[in-house]
Amino acid sequence: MKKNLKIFWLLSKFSMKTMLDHRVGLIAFLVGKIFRFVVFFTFIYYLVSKTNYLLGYTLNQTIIFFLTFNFIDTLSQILFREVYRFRNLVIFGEFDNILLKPHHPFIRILIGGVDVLDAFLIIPYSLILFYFLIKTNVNFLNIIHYSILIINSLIIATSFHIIVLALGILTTEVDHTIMIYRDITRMTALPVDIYKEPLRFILTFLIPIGIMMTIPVKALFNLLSTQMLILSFFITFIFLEFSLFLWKMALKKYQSVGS
Amino acid sequence: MKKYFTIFYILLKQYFVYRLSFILWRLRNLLGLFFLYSLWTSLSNQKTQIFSYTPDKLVSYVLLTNILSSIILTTRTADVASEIRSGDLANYLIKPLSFLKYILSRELVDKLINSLFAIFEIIFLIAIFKPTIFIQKNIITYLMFFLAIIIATTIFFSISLTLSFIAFWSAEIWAPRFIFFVLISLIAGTLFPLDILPSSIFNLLIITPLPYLIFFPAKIYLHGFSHQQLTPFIISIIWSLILFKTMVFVWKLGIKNYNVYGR
Repeated sequence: MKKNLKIFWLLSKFSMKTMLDHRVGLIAFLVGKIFRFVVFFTFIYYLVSKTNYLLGYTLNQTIIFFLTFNFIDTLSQILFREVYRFRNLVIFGEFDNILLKPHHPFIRILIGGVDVLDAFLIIPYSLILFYFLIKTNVNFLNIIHYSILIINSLIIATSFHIIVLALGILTTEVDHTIMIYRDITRMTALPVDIYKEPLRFILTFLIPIGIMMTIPVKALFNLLSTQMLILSFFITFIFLEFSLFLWKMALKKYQSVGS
Repeated sequence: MKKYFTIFYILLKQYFVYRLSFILWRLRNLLGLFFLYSLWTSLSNQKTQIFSYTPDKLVSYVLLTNILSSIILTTRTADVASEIRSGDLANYLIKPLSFLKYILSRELVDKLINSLFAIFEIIFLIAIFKPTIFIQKNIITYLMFFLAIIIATTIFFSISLTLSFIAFWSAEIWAPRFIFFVLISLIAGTLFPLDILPSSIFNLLIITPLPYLIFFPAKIYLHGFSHQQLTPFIISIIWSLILFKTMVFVWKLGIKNYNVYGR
């Protein structure tokens, strides 16, 4: 564990140094990301303040749905940025070298490239989320449930990224797959309740982004039954197992064509 | 002209080689459409009118902007930046063809394929959800609507290609494009009809070229063309001319000092 943490720290340092080499681009991306957040936040605020409710959720509640989505999404961007670069490792054969190293390949290909930009942005995002949480009347127990379910969301995010890596080996297609994941998660920037059945069911239980983004906030507002809480953890477990199964299968089929 | 038709035909065939890639791209588009459609229908189910939009006009706006995005905002001009940086541009320059006309042929193929798929996707969505949609019946409005689409396409093509030409001078080619796309996704009208914003912000936005990309053509279709839209229409024509001229100027400036080694 200590060795893995040391490697993770080393890779993160390299990633930060690489990103800081492109200062102009870094600033432009930072401005773009802040602008996107501000406008989208203002849009939701403006829209729901004019209509008063979104499917029964108050303005503050809707904002917390959006901010929680943003928090989880940014956190997974910080951790799993390296997945976006996986395709080249496969098609140029560099992945062989990683498999030969005496550490788990996930340390390099899954979490080996911490995103500096998002690591910086998570601070203001967290503060805004914290501000709205204080403004909303929630009890301590619900905050505990909310926090545990956010950790649960990160496990789902990890599983999604492992699936993308596995598909990357099987099909050499990573760019579109990861962007589809991003698009699917963006569908839950607002509560999954906005979708009609069967889409809502699919988004909650089959592609569990509803559990990832909506369920933690529902727990916060005490809108979650104990059964649903247990089911959320169960589905996460199944999903993680499935992603690891797919990864092992992909590794067996890997032919090292690029090297 | 014949050679550009041949290029058009060859590029069209290329799309059927990389089928998975294209299908996944359209799937992404469909997911975005599901989100916006569901958001606006949830809001319109609560009230009979949101801002100045009735539910059928709001739903029509979402579906229409999806088709408009597929016509106006799909582009291959981003590839030009990589071609400049890698030196592949030289392969086009030594051929007996105009590079800008070649790019235009490539754009037309991209827009044709994406528009066709977008129409199928909308039909699919209508078949599933059966929403009430608004159908415009005025011929003049249709004429002005198509003109607005041509203007919007020119504006987008010019800006996008100018951004790619940054590659003549700098390696930072993705950051300006990222900002451009963030701006488009927020203030071109793809997310929401811009006239729901407070009038002070709206009046400020219509001085810029971005609302003429999606919002303005959609507005003409939904509300008809009236004398009130004459001024914005003229503004959009002026913007398209300025931006097109700028793009040609930047191209000439960039190509004058372009060096490719090792080829």
